Amino acid sequence: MKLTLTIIFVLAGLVLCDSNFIWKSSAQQRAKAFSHNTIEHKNGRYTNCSVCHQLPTPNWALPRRDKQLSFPDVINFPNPHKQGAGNICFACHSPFSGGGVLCGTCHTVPSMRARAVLPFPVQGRARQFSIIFPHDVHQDLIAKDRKYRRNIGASGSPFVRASFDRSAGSTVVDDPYSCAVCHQTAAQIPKSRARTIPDLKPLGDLIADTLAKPVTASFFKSSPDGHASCFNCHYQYQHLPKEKQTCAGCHELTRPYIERTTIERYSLKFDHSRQGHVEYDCATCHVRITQHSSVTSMKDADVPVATCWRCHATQEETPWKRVLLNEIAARETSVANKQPAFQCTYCHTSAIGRYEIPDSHRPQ
Amino acid sequence: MTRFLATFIGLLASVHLPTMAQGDPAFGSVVVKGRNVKGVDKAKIPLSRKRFYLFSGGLAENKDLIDGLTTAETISRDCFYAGLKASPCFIEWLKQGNCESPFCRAVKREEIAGVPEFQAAYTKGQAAYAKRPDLAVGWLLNNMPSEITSGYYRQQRALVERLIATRRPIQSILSTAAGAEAVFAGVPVTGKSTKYVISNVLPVEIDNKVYTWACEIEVRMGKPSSLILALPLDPKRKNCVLVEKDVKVCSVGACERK
Repeated sequence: MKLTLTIIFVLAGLVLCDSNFIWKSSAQQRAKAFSHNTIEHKNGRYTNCSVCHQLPTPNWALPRRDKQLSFPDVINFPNPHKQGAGNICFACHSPFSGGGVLCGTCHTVPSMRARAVLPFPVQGRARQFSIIFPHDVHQDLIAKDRKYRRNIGASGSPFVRASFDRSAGSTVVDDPYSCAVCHQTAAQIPKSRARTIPDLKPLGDLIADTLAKPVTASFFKSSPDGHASCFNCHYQYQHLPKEKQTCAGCHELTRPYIERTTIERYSLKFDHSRQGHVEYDCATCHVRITQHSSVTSMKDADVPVATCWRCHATQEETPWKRVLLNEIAARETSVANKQPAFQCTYCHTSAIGRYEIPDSHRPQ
Repeated sequence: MTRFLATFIGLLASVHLPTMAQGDPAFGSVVVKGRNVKGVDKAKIPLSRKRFYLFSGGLAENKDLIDGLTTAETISRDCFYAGLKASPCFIEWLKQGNCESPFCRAVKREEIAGVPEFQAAYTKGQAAYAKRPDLAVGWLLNNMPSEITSGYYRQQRALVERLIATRRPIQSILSTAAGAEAVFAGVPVTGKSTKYVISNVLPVEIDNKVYTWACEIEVRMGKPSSLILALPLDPKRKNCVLVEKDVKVCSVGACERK
């Protein structure tokens, strides 16, 4: 009798403290948001993304959070409340469980009474897919014309496309950079830091960095974040190989990760917009990008230093034309004289410039 | 126990010794440029934005590849699109920009009416994107048949895959648009120098002829080696093969704009 009463009290206490406790499904108990990477969520009928996701979502014409003009896109969570075939979540997850994490995936208040939906996609939540973008294929195909031009279209659309109309009222810029279809001069200075060099030793302490020109947004290029630059050619899987005509053609399930907004560079002082740089085709320096079908498989810098030699390791007297040779000589002299090691800070910040000189930097 | 440890250490050593013997890898680079490779319109550089391939070994080791380049049948851009019954105005639009596909350059609004393929895609887009009619222009390519937009590329790609099936390149790179120059960096060098063959594999079409270069080059560590692809081939240049073929000319008709 005593034992029975104890069990009843314990159960009642648990129900009162947290009504979700007993009825939570395994998915609800997970601390994170909805996971695409569970056996149940990636098998059977769920192998087809369109069971849950709609392209475009019915509300695509509403104003967008990113301030772009609206275009047919996915701008909302899948609707699990639809009945019939669309009853995508509640087929397995009980709607009487009081919500919890399941409701919290989309709703501001994780409860069955919730109405308000979180802005999609939820900022700061771990991403579950990486993007497959074969740079080599795209570079083979687009913008072979030197006079490729980019700007903001007459319609006011902010999209920059390989096939975009640039007629009256637009600022036309002669631009040989096909890469500008997706990568444009950054609108604001991104957070940045020097990359880490695991194989070399630092020869000195960090020193204060000096810059010939303050770092501006024009030092950097943007990267696409969303469907805008993809959909001008691939809306609803157009022009993709047959086996890639699903969301998985571009989105690959991966381990959850928080997207880094801080960009990492070896040469943070490199100014893309500077005269002497701006005239060159991107592929003049970013040679490894044209070689790889996936940038994620690239382990090192996409700009090999050999591409800098043509202008910066010459025998000419102008200092910047032989700066690579001068800095290497200065480093070697300082080491030979047992002085504090000279830091190579023409291109690098001290975070990189204080390290040993890699063999790749020595034109012989 | 001692025997076990000795065997274990021996195994470890056997795994590591070959690596240690090889020493640090050395790398060189090659700059590829064209000389006198000019099209009808001198402003256009036929070798700009072309993919070049780097194969290990010299010409002798790549004999099969070169035989393949010599015998490969090429369909010209005009013939490909004529075979698809593309309109003469579409083919003319491609020619104007030295383009191989409509992905190559922007379709201007005023060009749409003059090219039936663009007009059809525009009409389709107007119906599809009723809430954003401007997308009918911006997303024009979405509404064109896949054969027209990427069929030529797929055909070219299939030819490359056939030609390199037995001899895989160790690198491939696209030449720049402005300078028609390609830089192979991080090319492994063993000893003083290492032999490689560089080829465009996919023939370059100039004035009803197609050209494929396959040139041997010695790559040394450090300073870039230079490879000039000349037309006609520099007689002083040894170990370089230029495959030159006439390409079938297809009549595409004249573009008559209404």
